Amino acid sequence: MTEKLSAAEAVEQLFQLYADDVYRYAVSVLGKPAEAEDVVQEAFIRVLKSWDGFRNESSAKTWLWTIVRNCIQDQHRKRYRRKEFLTGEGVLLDAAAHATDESVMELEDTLSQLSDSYRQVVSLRLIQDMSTEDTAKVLGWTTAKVRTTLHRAVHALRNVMQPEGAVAGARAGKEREPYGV
Amino acid sequence: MESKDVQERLTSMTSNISLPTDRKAAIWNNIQKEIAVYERQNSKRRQKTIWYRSLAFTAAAACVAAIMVAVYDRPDTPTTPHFPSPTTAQGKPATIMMFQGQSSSWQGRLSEVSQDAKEVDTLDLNYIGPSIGTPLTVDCVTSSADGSQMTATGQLKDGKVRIQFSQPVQSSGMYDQAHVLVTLKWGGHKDDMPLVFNAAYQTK
Repeated sequence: MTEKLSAAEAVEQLFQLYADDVYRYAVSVLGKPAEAEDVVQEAFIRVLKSWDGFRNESSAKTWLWTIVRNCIQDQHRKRYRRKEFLTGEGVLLDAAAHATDESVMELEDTLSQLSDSYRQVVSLRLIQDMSTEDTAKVLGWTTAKVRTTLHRAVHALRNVMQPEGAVAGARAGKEREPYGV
Repeated sequence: MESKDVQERLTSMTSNISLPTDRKAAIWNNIQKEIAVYERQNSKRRQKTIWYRSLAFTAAAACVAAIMVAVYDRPDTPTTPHFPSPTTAQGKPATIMMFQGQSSSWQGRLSEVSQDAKEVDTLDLNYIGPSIGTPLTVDCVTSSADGSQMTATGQLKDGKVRIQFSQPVQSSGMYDQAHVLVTLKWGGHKDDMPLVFNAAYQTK
């Protein structure tokens, strides 16, 4: 997108190109399809409203992902407020209410044991296959922080994904190479 | 499990995840509604911007025009008038001993109006005025050395301010003198307010 499109055209093109990726990213971080759908809608509406301010300093994709990340943070806040309102004790009553899809549930089972920052970096670097630099831009981190966090996240994921016996072996055993950073 | 395996496992997990078609269509539908609202607002905003810009442009043009009128249409500020070689009406030289002026008032002293003539009834002052604008009126007020009032009339003629005393000024002694206050009024200045230059002359 070298030529500046109108906001409506930009939204249409970005939606066609990245709607599924945005959804996947949102699902992998939030774990709930319904919230992920809200993020998709909200993100593209924000693209529409802030397109005039986009200065091509980064790629449109990176810019979009920054918006998506902000939407996800807003979802986290909403979720926290809802949790406070419903239970007052921090118990999420509607947890996994929308997670009916098997793939989503499997992903959520895997990633749910990771912290939010691990989930974000894993989603961007491993699932979206984004570069370290772009990931750093989206998350507002340094590239060093991206690398370190990813390394730790992958280490944690290995433990989650490996069979129990292998985990014990892994804990006792050799030092693994970090993920290609 | 290797790092690459972790990535492959994640990729295979997510490969089946995509926005359901009906949900995608619904979301796009909502976004299109937002687009319509946005474009409507944007159009209004653009119209407003155009209107404000044209207003600002008109105002700026009016300001520039007003400044141009003020600068170029204004008569030149009168330069300092001076009376380089006053003479009596009889052609006798008169010397201005002291002649100093400010922008709003002039004072001068004529001495030796005439060494020969003991009486002076007419005084001519050569006038070099401002390049643009001529004195419209010449007002004179005189007083004699003893403080009594005399009358004098002044007029501008042939580049000279001619002051006509109602009666001859007697110059019988060193301190006999008449004080003449000449007021020249220029028209055509800003707001049509006349510029007033006063010149006071004393004859001895």
